[in-house]
Amino acid sequence: MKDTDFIKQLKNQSRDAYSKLLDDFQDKVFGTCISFVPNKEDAQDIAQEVFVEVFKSISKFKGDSKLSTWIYRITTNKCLEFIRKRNTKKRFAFLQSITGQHFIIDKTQYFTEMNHPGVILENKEKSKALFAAINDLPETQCLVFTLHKIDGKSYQEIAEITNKTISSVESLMFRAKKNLQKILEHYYKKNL
Amino acid sequence: MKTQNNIQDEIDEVLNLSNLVAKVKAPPFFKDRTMQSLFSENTIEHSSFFWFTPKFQMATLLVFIFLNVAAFIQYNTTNYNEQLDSFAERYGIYDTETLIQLN
Repeated sequence: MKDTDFIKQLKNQSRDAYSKLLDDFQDKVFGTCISFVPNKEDAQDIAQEVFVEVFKSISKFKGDSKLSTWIYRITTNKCLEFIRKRNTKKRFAFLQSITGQHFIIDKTQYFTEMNHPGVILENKEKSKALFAAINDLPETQCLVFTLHKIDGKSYQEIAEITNKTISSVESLMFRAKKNLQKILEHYYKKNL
Repeated sequence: MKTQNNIQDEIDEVLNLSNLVAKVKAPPFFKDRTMQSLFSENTIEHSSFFWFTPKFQMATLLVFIFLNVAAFIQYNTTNYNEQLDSFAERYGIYDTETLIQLN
């Protein structure tokens, strides 16, 4: 089936077309989500939201980019939105604690438990440090580093998803690695 | 110096971990759950009055009120008294000629 026919069927909300879309993309979308949010349950919720968004917004899809690129764009936006919300919650809790307002801190709400099926148990603690460090990067660097290093996407694919040139993706990767080095150095100096 | 080297080793190890993260598959039943959520939302969205959004509801209400007020004013100003007189005459409740004679 041609891509245009397939998109037409998706726009017509055909059940078969969505079944095929899920067959083709569920692992890829879930893989990207868990690369950003290393928790199986959270990643599953975000991945589901991605498909709901595709369903709602497919009528706006003009075909300027590949369908896969468009879906990855939605996926990365949803993941970054989730991370932003989680960080705002953390900041709010911190502000409340320094202004002296009494409330019980539910730590599980602010720190996602590391539950990534692709990480072996002996690497769990170090992976936690890695994901925490990635989370401290500026958003664009976090996006590019995660897509390339964790999700395994090529610079070409990342350039298409983020609407940037390959050279700017390379420069963001360079800065991300440099910043990660600094963040981890600071972390280990404090903890070793 | 030794500590600095140790720290660098730890950092290298952590950074290399990003290459060791294995590919993962979507959990079982993910597809079924997603299909269900897609098409249950779909039925809600496309009920017969899905187009009758609050904007349309407000517009309809305003048109309804406007028509009623206009009709009421029209009715009061034009032929209310004439109609009342003819109704009274027809049923013998009120006779204009008698009133004139009495005056």
